[in-house]
Amino acid sequence: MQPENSRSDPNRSIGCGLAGCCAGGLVLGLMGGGLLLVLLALGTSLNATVLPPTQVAPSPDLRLTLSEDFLGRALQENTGEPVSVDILPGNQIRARFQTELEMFGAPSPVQIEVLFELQLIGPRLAVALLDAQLVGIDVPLEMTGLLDDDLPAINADVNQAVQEVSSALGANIILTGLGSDETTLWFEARYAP
Amino acid sequence: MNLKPSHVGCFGFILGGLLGLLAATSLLIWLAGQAAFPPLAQPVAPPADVTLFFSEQTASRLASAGGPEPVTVDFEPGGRVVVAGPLDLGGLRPMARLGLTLEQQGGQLVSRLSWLELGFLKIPAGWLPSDLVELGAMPGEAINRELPPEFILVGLSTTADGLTFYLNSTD
Repeated sequence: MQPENSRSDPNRSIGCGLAGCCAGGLVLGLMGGGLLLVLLALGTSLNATVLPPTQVAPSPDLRLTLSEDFLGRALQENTGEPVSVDILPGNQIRARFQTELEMFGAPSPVQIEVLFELQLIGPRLAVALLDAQLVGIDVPLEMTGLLDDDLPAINADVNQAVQEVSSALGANIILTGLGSDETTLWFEARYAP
Repeated sequence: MNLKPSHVGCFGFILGGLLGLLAATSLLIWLAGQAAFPPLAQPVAPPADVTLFFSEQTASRLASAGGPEPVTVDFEPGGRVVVAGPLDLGGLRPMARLGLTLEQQGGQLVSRLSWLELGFLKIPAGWLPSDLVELGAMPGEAINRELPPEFILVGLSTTADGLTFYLNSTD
């Protein structure tokens, strides 16, 4: 008889109703609230716009840095001759290579040391020969015109390389700076407006 | 006070609903707290033949090139990057922010999704479906395809300005 009495007890039925509905409300609130928040987040993100990144410090769009070893290997690959390269501050490069010169009526193997400077003239890169010397020979030869014939081709190659980088990136880039320290040489570029 | 069971039920339902809403909000706040980048040590820049720096503007421009809507790329130190742009989600294209980490692993660049932010909702990658998590690997794969084959990636660093690749010649 006791169970029947307790089942019909009004206090117990109120307690059960409170607990049952509270649990139902909790579940519904949790699910509905979660869904509501997700929908709200989705709604706000649908109307959102993408802001461009803020530039922290003035920096180039692109910077390419070449090491002394790499530059030496690249020159050696191009010339087919061993070339020793020394990058100097002030955008200067000292290169030493073996060649043959007509001396005293016969071709003689000599070592030539040349000092280049890279210059940025407007958006174009130019290679200027500052000095050329025969290594180990004290004869003062006039050699500053040594590469006069080759320099336009070198300059054209260098600027062609810049154009190739532009094409690879699918945009027009212009050189805006260059620099060097004891071991590296770098080029900086920006997208053309 | 004479309370009817139906009144008590309504009261319980409202109380439960409010508690549920509070629990859902708490859960989302807790989720947002979990959605953080993993701690990554910024590797020391290795000696390399060539280093290539891309600013945030350049990376954003390259990332936007594939689609009609702009995508912005925001680098942070420690190989962290936040990519913001439209995301295909069940036919909708909400603006989302993806928190990614970039790491160099054996000559390859690996990107992983850390979190996704939709509006005010920030969800850690562990709570997202696998197809969205796999989306995080795409930037790394795309960059690997663009790296010149005559070079191998030996390092990677990110700063607030941009991303630098350290490359060695394979010759």
